[in-house]
Amino acid sequence: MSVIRRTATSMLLSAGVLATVGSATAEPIYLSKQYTRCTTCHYSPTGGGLLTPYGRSLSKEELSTFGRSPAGTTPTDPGSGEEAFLNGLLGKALGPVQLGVDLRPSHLDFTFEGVGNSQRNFLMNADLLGAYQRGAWTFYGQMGRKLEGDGGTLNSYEHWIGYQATNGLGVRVGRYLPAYGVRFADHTAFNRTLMGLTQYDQIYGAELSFTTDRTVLQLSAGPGRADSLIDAEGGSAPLFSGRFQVDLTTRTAVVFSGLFRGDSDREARSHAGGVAIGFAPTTRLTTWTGWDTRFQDHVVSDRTHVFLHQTSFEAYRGLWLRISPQIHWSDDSPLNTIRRLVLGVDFLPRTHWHVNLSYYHDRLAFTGVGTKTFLAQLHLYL
Amino acid sequence: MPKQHWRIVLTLVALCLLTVSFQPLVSALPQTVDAQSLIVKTGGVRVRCSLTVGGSFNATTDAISGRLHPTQSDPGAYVGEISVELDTLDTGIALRNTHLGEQYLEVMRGDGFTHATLYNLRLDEALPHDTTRHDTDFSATVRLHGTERQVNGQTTLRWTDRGLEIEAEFALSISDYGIAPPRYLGIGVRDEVEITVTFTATTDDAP
Repeated sequence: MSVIRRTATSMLLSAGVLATVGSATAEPIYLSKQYTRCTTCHYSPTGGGLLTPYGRSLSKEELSTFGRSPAGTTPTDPGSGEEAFLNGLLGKALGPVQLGVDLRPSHLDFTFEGVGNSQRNFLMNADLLGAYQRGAWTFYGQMGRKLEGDGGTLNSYEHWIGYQATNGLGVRVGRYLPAYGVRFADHTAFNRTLMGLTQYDQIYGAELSFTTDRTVLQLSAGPGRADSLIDAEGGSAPLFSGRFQVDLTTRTAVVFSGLFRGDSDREARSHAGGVAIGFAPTTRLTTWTGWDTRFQDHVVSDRTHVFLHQTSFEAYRGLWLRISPQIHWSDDSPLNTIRRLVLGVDFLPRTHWHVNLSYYHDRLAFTGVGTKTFLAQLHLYL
Repeated sequence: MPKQHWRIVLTLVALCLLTVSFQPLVSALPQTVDAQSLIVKTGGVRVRCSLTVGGSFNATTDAISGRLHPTQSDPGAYVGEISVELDTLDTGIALRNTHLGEQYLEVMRGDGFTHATLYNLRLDEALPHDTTRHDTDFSATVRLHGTERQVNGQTTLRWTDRGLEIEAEFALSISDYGIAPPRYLGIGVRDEVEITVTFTATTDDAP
């Protein structure tokens, strides 16, 4: 029994729950507001990170409960209002440079059924982000604290230079998270952990993209995971990824993805594919449903799958309720089957104030062993 | 002259004057119009706006009304018009609605700006009497933002138990109508927008 329990512990921990839960960045839930692309509100073509001026304005005028300008008045100058950097303290002193501060004090309560409970208060993120745009060029960088155990180190896990032509062709070179599937705000979502695309899995590489009003194609290639390359730890492997999105309507999108990762000293090469469908029947309801399969030479099973669904409902302006059943399993090994249910609340009372409460219930199907995790997080985007 | 004769003369004069007064109207409509007019009962308009950064959003309204009269001289042509109230267009984002109405469509400028109107409709192939579904191209004039331009598109007409269901699609250039290029904080709408008009019409002798 102890072997099984150790295996169960390992499986559940590898699901990424205890390490660091949740991370509110990109928001695919805004499909219901007819936002099918990340680049409307974020500088990064794969979402997350620094908000564009449009994204900052949207956060104030449309997403927050009490932030919007009073009816009948002209919205404040986006460069000086509460949506601006440090609430507009610097005015226009920064010129074309855009800055943002990302802070996420968090509380985590983790219960391993039959074993015990642990609690932890920590600062999940403390980042300074910056971007400079000139014509079609974007220079982007982030510097901040990377969580390591109970402490952290100073790191820059995203920095790149991008070029976006008016005909839809785009190029990006640097360190970034490659495009694959749907980038849910929760970086421990099974589809992200299966592909090895969590919060610190950026690669060094080059990305080519082509965007139209109904489609976007993103192709990426690089020598491997950035941290592994820098640390020369032997875990790096060449990575190629492709993502193709078709917007069937302004509230319906289908995403096809593929990923190839070469051999490394630690893992056999793998390739994966997936499809995700986003459908928002109303302005307050967004659903995403996805399936991913990874193929990798392995002693126990060569194929691992993830099925994930997320429904988000805006119960009141700025108050979102979220439910996400997920399952992870392998063809020939019942030990690998983990079922997860996530219940969450996202409350955005004022511009860039985001209270995220999430409850995770993971259960290893083979043993019935489970974990319960509660995360309370205040995401401040200044 | 007896009093009764004066009444007859005055009545004849009044009838003549009435006939002369209404002559322009009479020559404009009834001579070419079939007895059955099509009256818009329910419907809507969807304007798909493509963004400069990729993706798109819809502006929608169901504030559509109007009446079309098939002509006898040209089986595919209709007189009358279909009209849409522009200040009811909803993009799903309040700030975007405000910008659309006030800065770009300028509905506060009054006549010619409050509505978009489609008229001079002509189907390339007239609606047959013996079919339930009919697909054809069409041309029409659209008056928008105080400007009139011809548009061309495709339409599908279906007879149902509720009446004639019509779906028409066409594209137009907003700069052709003198509308300023929509731009907000680096995000813009491309010049060509796609418009879908759907409505159910009944004939004026229907219950």
